[in-house]
Amino acid sequence: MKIHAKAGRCIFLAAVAAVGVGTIGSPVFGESQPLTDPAYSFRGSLTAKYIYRTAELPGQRFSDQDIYSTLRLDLTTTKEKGYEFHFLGWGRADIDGHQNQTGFYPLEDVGNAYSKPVQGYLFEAHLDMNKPLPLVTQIRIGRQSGTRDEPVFFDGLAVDLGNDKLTLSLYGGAAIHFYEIDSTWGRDSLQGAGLDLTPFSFSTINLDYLEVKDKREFTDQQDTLTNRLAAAKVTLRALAATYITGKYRTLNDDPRDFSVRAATAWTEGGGNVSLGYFRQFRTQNELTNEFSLFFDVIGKSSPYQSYDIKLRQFIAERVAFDAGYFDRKLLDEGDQNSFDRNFSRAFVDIELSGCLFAGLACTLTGEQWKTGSNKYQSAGFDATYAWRRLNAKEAKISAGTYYSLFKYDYYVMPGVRDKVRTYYVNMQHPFTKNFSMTAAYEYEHGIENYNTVKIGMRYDF
Amino acid sequence: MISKALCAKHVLAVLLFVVCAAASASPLYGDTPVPELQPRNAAQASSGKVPFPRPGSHKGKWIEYHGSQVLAEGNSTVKTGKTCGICHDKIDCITCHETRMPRDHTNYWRTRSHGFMAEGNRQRCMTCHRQDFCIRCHMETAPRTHTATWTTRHCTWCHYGSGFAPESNCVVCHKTALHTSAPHTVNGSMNCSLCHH
Repeated sequence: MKIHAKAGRCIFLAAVAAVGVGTIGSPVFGESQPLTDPAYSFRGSLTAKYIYRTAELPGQRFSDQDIYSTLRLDLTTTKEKGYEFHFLGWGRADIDGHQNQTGFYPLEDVGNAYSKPVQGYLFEAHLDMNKPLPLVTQIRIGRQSGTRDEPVFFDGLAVDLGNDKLTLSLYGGAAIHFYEIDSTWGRDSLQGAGLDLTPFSFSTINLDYLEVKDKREFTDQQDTLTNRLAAAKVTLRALAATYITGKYRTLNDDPRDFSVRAATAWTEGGGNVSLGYFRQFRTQNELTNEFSLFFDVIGKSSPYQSYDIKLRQFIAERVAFDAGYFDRKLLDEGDQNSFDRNFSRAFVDIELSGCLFAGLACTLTGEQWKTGSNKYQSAGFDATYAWRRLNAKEAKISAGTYYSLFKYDYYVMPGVRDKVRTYYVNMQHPFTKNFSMTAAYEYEHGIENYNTVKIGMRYDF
Repeated sequence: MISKALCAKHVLAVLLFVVCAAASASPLYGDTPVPELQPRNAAQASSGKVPFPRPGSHKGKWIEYHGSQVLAEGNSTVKTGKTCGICHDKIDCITCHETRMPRDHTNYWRTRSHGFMAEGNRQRCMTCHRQDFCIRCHMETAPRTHTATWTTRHCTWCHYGSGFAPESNCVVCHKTALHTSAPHTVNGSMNCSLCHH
């Protein structure tokens, strides 16, 4: 559920107030808090970013200015059976009124899909009680994201029970859909339970159940969907960095998918490899927002299988090699349509740390996608120079370019080729332990030319 | 005679070798001793969370790999004090996945190529997006074809010679009042608006 303009303005005001309080409250601007605070700790960050974009089309020029801000707060008492409060809000404002919903506007994005220029999103705002009762490890109340495998947001209650060998999580409340059109709070709901078993030190078993009810208010039918997802996952570990995990899920009592992944890392040689396999058993059509594979936009997802491999190896002390391949194939070739196709992706990266002089890292990248007759190829180079580290932040500047070639059958005629050359410069500089600024410039040269300038700041409480 | 392409490959290989050699010979940023960091406050001290230094795994293309690691660690990943939770809070995941875009999400991606990825790898989109995100844009904003005279042009665009298939393209945004075939032969010289208002 989206917070409307008034709530968005509140987030901005709260963010500004928090910065003011944080700044005034600090003994010296930029210094971290004293180590001795017996009652609680207060951490958080405020970020603000100004983005200016232009687009040049033949005979036309467009511009847009937006401001984005994120406020995060983490309040924790230091007692063992203590309390925590976590908050994460994000807001954006169109500051020049350039948003046009009636015709094509080359700088249009999801923020322009609203009638008002300010939007705010509240991702987390929950109070946690740690160990309030024997066997109850935590109770969370408020706006929160899920802690299980499925990415969900809800306003409600979550309870964790158990010990190191066996834990049970119960959660439920009003489902939150941040971008849903015409949504009404409380009409969508979800409830779930998860069980984690650790029978042996080398194995974990996870069992999950999640039920979601979604009233689809953007369609004429105004129907309500209910989906029940059940999942069982087994993970086996060998040595410190080798594992294999398999997961099987059902949806509304029908088999939905199976996945297996194995990975290992060898610290001596500085490398790791990961292998994965996924199989979707049945066609996925209209589903609730949490589970839908974008059916209402691009149609059904037919049964398919995919596998992937990723490899990383340091081929010299300061030369890292990364490569990966992903392949997706429909089980029945006859199921292919505009938005459901066979797909493959391959990438290669070579990263050189300390090349030429200390602090400089250079990366060469190459990537290719292929879906049916559509292809994408890209090659690029990045150079990053870091010269200072303050707390966890580096002072660094990156510059690079990459060339992209798209061959596709969309829009006007089959076999269209788009060549896009992108140049960018990014800079980050921490001025104190708490305050840093960023600046970035990007130029995209293709059918249209885009310029993007970003100037941002971050203050850590 | 050596072709230009072969020559370029050889030059590139030599350059790569030289740069690798130089990289191996020069001091590495970070080789200098890192001062031992102290927790910033009492709560951090009691939880054992320290923000730095990062583990050796968190280098280079770590972003490409971290999802696999999260999958392996299961639901305990976000629980304080275990695996990722030693340094990270659950809120760290949300902060990235909801407010920061991948590098390839450029203006070109936004206006043209994101559909290209969606046709073959919806699972990647699902990492951050749910369906309502797509619907919000596609039902509230207009694509590049929909300029001033679109109303009169759309008949021939869809039904004659554009390469478009209405049943798989128009429906991305339009859920109602959809007609996927014309009731009569259509050609580009017709003025559809004479009959269709």
